[in-house]
Amino acid sequence: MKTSRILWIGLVILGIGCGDAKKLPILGNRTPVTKTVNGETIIDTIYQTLPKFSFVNQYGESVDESILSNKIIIADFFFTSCPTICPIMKKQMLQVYEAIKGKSDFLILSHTIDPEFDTVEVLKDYATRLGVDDKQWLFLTGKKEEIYSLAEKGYYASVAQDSSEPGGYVHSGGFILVDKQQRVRWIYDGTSEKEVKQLINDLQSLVAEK
Amino acid sequence: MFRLIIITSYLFVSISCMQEGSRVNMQQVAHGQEIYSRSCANCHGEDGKGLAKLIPPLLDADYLIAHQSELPCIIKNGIAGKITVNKYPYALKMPGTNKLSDVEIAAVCNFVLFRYGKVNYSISVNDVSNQLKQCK
Repeated sequence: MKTSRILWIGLVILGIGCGDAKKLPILGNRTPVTKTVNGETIIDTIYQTLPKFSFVNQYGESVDESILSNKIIIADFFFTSCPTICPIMKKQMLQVYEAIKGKSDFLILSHTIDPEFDTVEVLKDYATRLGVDDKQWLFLTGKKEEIYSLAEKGYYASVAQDSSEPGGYVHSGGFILVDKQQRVRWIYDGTSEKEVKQLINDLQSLVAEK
Repeated sequence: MFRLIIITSYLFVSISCMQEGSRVNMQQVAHGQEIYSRSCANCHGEDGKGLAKLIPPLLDADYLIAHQSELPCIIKNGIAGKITVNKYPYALKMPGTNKLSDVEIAAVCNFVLFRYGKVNYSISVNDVSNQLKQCK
C-alpha cells in the first residue's frame, strides 16, 4: 500500500516536471557567433531582440526600451477608433491585465497605429474607460514610421494603412509575448478566448524560466 | 346572432394580432441575430454588454428604449458625439453599417429590441424604411 502511494506521488511529480520542461520557442532570426572560451572554440547563438524605441505613454511621459528591463511583455497593436477586431482584443487583454495586476514581472504595451488621431489625451481617456489607471498597461504613441517599423521588425506583426478597410487600417490581432531578454517567444490570436487563456498560462512558465 | 358576434370578435382579434408590428416576429429576430453577430457583436458583444466604459451596452440600456425610433438611422449611419447610456457618458464614434438593406436593418432592430431591450412588439420593414428616409 505504502509503496504504491509513493509510486503514485512519483508519477505525479514526473508529470509536473514534464509540464515544466515544455518551453516556449524563441522566435526570430538567430546569428551564430564563434567565441573562444578557456582556449576552446565554441559556437554561441545570438537571438533577435526588440529594437530601441522612443514613445509617449497615456500619461504624457516619454518611454524608451529601458522600460522593458527585467519585464515580461505582452504587446499588441490597435487604434481607438477601430470598429473591427480591436474591441474583442481589448476585452481579451483585460483578462490578461486582471491576471498580471500587481505582479511586477509583467507589463502590457498597446501600440496605436493611428498616432495622428490617437493623441495622449485620446489614449488616456480610452485607458481610463477600460479601467486602466496604473502603469502596468501602457498605451503608447509616437512617430508613425517608428511604430510600424517596431511592429514589423521587432514583433513580426503586420500593420498597414488601408482606406478600403473599415476604420482605415489593417493590423494583425496578435498578442505578442516577449521574455525578459526581449526575445519574442510566441504570438497568440488576441481575438480568441482560448488562445488568450493559453497566453495567461504560459506567463507562469515564462516567469519560472531561468 | 350572439354566436356570430363571438366568431366575428375572435376573427377580429386574430387578424389584428397577425398585423405587422403587433407581436414579435421570431423569424425576423433569428435573421437579426445572424446579422448582429456579423456586424455588431465585435463591439457590443454577443451578450450585449458592450466593453467596459468604452462601448455602451445594449442590454437593459435606457437609451435603446428611449431612442428606438432612431435605431434604424443609428445602425445605418452610426453616431458621433457624446451620448448618455444608463447615466454614463460615452463618446467613441460608432461607425455605420450602410451595406445593410432595409429588411436587414429591420431584422437587427427587432433582434436588439427583443433580446436586449426585452420588448414584446416588433417594428415593420415599412416603418424602418420610413424612419430611414428621415435620418438626420
